[in-house]
Amino acid sequence: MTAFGSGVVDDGSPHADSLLADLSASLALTSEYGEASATLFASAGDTSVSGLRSGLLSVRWPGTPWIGCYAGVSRPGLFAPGLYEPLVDHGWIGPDSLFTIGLTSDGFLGTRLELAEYVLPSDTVEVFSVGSPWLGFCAVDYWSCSGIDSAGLPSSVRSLSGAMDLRFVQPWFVLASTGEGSDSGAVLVELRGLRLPSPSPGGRLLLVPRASFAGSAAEAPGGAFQPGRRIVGGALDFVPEGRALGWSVYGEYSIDDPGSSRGSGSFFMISQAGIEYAVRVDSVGQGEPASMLRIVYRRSSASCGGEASVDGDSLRVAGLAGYSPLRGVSALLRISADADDSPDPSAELETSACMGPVQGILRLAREDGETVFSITARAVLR
Amino acid sequence: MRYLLPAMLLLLSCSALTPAVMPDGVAIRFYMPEAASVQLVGDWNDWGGLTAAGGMLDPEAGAMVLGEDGFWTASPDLPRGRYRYAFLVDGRRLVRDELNPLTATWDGQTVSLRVIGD
Repeated sequence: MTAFGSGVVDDGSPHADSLLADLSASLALTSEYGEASATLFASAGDTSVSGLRSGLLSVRWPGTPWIGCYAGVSRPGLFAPGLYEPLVDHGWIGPDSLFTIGLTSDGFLGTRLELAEYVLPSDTVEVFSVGSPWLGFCAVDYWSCSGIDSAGLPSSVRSLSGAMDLRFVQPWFVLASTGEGSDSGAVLVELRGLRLPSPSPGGRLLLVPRASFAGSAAEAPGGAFQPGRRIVGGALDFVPEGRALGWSVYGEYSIDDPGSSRGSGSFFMISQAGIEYAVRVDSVGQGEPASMLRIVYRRSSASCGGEASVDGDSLRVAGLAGYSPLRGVSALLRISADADDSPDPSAELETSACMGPVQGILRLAREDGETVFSITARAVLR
Repeated sequence: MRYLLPAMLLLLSCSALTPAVMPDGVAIRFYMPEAASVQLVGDWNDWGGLTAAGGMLDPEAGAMVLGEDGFWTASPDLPRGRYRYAFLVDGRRLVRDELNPLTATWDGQTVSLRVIGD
């Protein structure tokens, strides 16, 4: 159950301009032969709707868990991982009116195979995936998707990704193709496990070279690579082991467009005194650099601190304070303003109460000259 | 008295600039003692229910436990693989793991990436 309301505070009294209540109930039956589940919902807001939100019927082959099939509505999926940004992310195709049927098979060394057909209002999308989590020295996943006709999306996506463990170095790679032409392919490679002498105890220092090459017609709905760019770079990561200290430096050079080369760095530490230090610097080509510095003192059930962020030539400073009077109850206050002639101040107070399956959040904010509020309550009862 | 203040400042600066100890290297930890709740959400639990078929956040999904040292802790039992994750603070704010240099993108936001079996 979720209830949400928001509005403005005018003349000292709240006026709601948006209300939404959503109640859903799920029933699931499971056995060694399969699963059947349904989620019904009723939602009341500007308009009231009710019906079936999701449903799933899956069957496994009697006597073996290896082979099965399923049919469902609003079944999520369509996710293809890249190294960092995904090739295809959730949300590429919305779950509305999504009907899916599929075949699955689990087998040797955890290898999983799935063939699914997503039936959308205008398209039928076929997805085939096969993956092995570990084959002794490598993990491999293959994913293909075809049948998209919607504007702005590639008609097909295929990817082969994997990670190998060659003892001293662990290459990660993604080979992707988002069309039929030779310029629709992309390669992403990273070498992990190159260990350097650590400058301080309590962690490992890793050198991580990276490269990506993408054809001019390659498209990644998840943003995994930049079309028509050849990029080389690398990171220097300090990975903590037993200490609350970590930092990373990253740089990349775009061979085709040196002006878009970028660099970034971050540092984070929680001290023995309970002080959190966070620094982040990011610079993209000829563009304006962005950076952030945050220092927060946390002790027992209270915190206070400040944050300064620079975006181009704009500096914004913020004061932070938090307090938890009871276990499961907290309040957070944030006041911020620009450090120039037009400070554009804002203040936000957020209180939360969390008790097991029940959560309530009240947010009160002063921004753009008006006071706004929102209330959220949610609960899952089993 | 003239030495007391410099001594206190020295003591404070030492503890202020010495990283805290986290004895358990396997568990995922997050320091925010004043939070009402912290959930560990990621690819393995449908991001707390947000990407599940129902699309609703479950307040108990991936619930982390607050220790006396102010760290929230969770030890998800996951098979070998790569997983994206983040901390959901007070059921509202999604925060990445700042002690993990590996990052990824989920739903347009920078989150953390954990490799099991690395």
